[in-house]
Amino acid sequence: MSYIDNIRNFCIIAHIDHGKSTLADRILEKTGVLTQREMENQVLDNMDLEKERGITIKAQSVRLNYKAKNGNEYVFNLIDTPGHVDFNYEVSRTLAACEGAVLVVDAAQGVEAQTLANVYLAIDNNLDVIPVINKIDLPAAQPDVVKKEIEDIIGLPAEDAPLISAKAGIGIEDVLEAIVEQIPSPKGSTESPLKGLIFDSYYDAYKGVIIYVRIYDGKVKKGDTIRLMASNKEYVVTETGWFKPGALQQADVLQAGEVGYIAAAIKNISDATVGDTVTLANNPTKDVLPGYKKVQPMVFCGVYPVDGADYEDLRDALGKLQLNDASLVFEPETSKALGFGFRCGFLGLLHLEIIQERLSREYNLELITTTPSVIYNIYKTNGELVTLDNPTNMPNPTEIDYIEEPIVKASIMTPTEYVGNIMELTTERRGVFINMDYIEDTRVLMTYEIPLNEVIYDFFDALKSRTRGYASLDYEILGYKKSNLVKLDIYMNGDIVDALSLIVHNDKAYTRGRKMAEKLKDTIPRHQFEIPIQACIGGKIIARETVKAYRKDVLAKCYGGDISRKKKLLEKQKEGKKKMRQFGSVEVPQEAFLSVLKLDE
Amino acid sequence: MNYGLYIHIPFCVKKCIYCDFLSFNSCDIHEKDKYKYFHALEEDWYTKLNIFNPGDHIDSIYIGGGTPSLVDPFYIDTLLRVIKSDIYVTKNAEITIEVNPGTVDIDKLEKYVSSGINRISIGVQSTQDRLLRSLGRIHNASDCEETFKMAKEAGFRNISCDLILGIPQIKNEPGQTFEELCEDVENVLKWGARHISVYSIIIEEGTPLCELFERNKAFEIDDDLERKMYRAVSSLAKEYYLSQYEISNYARSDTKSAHNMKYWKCLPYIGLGLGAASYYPADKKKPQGDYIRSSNTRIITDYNEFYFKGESEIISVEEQMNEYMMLGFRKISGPDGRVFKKRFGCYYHDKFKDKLEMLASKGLITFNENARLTKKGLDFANEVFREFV
Repeated sequence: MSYIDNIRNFCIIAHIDHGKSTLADRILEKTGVLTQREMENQVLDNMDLEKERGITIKAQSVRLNYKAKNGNEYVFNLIDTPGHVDFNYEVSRTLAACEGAVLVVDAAQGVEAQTLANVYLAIDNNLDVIPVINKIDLPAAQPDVVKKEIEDIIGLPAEDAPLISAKAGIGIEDVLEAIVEQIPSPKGSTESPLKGLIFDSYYDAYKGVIIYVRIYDGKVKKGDTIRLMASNKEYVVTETGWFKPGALQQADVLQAGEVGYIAAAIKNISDATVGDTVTLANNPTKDVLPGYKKVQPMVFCGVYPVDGADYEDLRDALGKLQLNDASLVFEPETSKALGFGFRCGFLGLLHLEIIQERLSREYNLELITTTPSVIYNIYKTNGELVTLDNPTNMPNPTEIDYIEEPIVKASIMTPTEYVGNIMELTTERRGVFINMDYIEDTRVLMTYEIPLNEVIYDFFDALKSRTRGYASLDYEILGYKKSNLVKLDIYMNGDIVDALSLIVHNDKAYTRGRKMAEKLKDTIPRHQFEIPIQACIGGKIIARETVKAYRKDVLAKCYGGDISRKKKLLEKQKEGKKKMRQFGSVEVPQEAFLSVLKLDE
Repeated sequence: MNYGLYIHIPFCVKKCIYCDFLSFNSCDIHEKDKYKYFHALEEDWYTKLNIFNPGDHIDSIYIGGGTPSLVDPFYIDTLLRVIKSDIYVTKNAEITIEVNPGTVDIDKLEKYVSSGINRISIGVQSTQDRLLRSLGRIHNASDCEETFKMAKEAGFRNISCDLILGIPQIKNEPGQTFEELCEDVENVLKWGARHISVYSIIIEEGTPLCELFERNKAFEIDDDLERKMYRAVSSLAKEYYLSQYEISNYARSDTKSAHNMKYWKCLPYIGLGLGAASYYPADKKKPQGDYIRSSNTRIITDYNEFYFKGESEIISVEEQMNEYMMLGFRKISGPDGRVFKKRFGCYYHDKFKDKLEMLASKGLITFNENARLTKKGLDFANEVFREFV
């Protein structure tokens, strides 16, 4: 038996909260990599944010040794995948690095839209999928119903699916044995030219970019000159090795079938992109691995420091985040309303939120973000095509022939009682109904085509609130479609607030304009003068609200005992004012920018 | 150095719905605990005696609340005697007591006079029965007039009345009208008030009134109407030879509240009683240096057990200058430039040049000798104050 026969490369796929990370921890524990005491809960999710949200943002990988019941010693490479549609491409590359996948399904919740999406991705990548039913110790657990669901919906045999509780440590060995038995070993030859897949990377301040690779053929060791085929750059390998939980373990050579890392003093993470093929410069492989894509940001918004003095800090922070995240793009931008900031591009809304949160948590920055935008194709009358990600730069309407917007295919899985609510919501969001499948008597999968720009405005929140949290959503980009879009501008006290401009469908401009004006009226504090707030299309006012002037701002009483308290009150007001943005003579609080993003009540 | 002395009496018959002062419903407090409280006040006084230098005097005393008139005048008399036995209270010191209609009779008032109290401040609030009711006051309009008459009869010449301006709609009771407010002001002036305090109502957090607002059961009166009322007070007062000397206070030149003026002039004071604040030099040998502003505990059981200590902060000379401005601007005459120079060694016109010029450019303040609020500044005084915190 060759070493390669005892390797099992697999990942775990699951819906958020179905217990993926907990199972990963248990596997680590069972294979003796970590004792329970050493384990901080959920070792694989390193970031606070990941732990909090129960999602995986960066892929993690770990190499384990398992002595199976058949007496053989196996090498397991467990690759943890990001768990969100925003990172679909990363997920697909991670899956490509595996031969099998463990599908974790919650015994109480059953199959969810996102589970489906990931399972199909796995099946598309020719992975052998082992269904596992988790949380069987919950009172609401219905393993038999879930088994049937897995068979009916996904089409996987689930009769012998291990019934486990990752939390309670029940059935973990069954999972490990199933991995040995059901997942095939990798194929490949150490004699062929090197062919490896980059499925993730991160930046290390000392070693440069650390690339995560799955070797299909050949071998690589320190001193070799590697070539990254998509970027067509060459580097001398300084280190190779395997993954231990939370650390790297040097190994002399990485060879066919193995999963590990390569360090080669790569300076820039964008030179080692996910999906690229690694080979040797002096003996290159003839076939580049399929599926490589250059990731394109889908959602854009302006990010500005609340305090203008933090601009440099914001740039540094974005730069540092970008070191580990090639899909984050940013460039300087100036807004009349917000001053100096950056236009940032994200894979999707979750990615946007994550970056925002990391900026504020890890870098302590207070930020204002503008309304998110997608990329529009603007065809001008002179034949020119403009791709637009910032509504402010929209050409004059007279110069525009027509506009196209990105459309997604949205899959919504929901209990049947919310079908009406979802139809209502999707209609409001210009969704086109495609299909509805009954998954079981009480659940359906609804498919829609919806413009992406409708999805990025609080669609997910609205969906959750209208289905009491029961519906799940997944979407993928379908392409571009011609659409009747207009630019909606907000004028405050007669001045345009560029940061609030957005592109919206003509039929919805009036409603959105009215709602925005109402929200702004509620969030902008009263001034000494009246402030008209107008929503306009072109030069036409479609909605108007007025922030009434206040007539007094004076403490009626201040005596001995009050002085400290009144001073504190005034100080607080002063602080509050500092955080406001000055638009001409109007002071606008940060919340105003956020409030217009949440218009669905 | 001359000090003001504030004595806090935290008992009321019933707390009013707008009140966030430190006071308790009297029926919740046992008579024995009231006795204990006065005992603690004496002890509080003894612990604060070491703040004084030999030769320091007290030239104003203010007994406030709560409702000081609710307790037996004997307690007050005893306390004043103790104080006078320890420190010299100047001969023409202003000694004020707050009284609420419905809690005093001629006997009590005469006892106050014999205790040396020479000024009385009556919590009238309104002379409209319907509004008194909606505010949760325990008295009606005729009680107010009655109290006033008795005070005069007892020998008080210097009588002040408190009024509330801009009483909101509370449940189904409509808010105060312009005519009602004018009538209130005229009534107390006709009775013979030599001093009036007219406060725009403040909706303080945590009060029952605030809760009514949150539940949409109370509604503020129109802003413009409120300001119209505010301006009317000033002109009505003038007809009775009272002029506005502070944002909410009106008096003749010789009946301004000497005690309250100390606060607005940043002069030192000692506070006795629950939550009472004191302001005095941190080092009694260095009256030009740092000050301390400390307040007593706000927990009555602690206070009664002689645990007086509450919060305390050092007020640096720099902060004193800022406070001097912030509080000084409350006075219609503005912060006094010469006194500032004498105390801090420079003119505030120089020290705060940029801020003052900015405020003047906004039309909030104006200069002749002193800087002071303009008519607009009176409406938006917080904008001025915020520059000095």
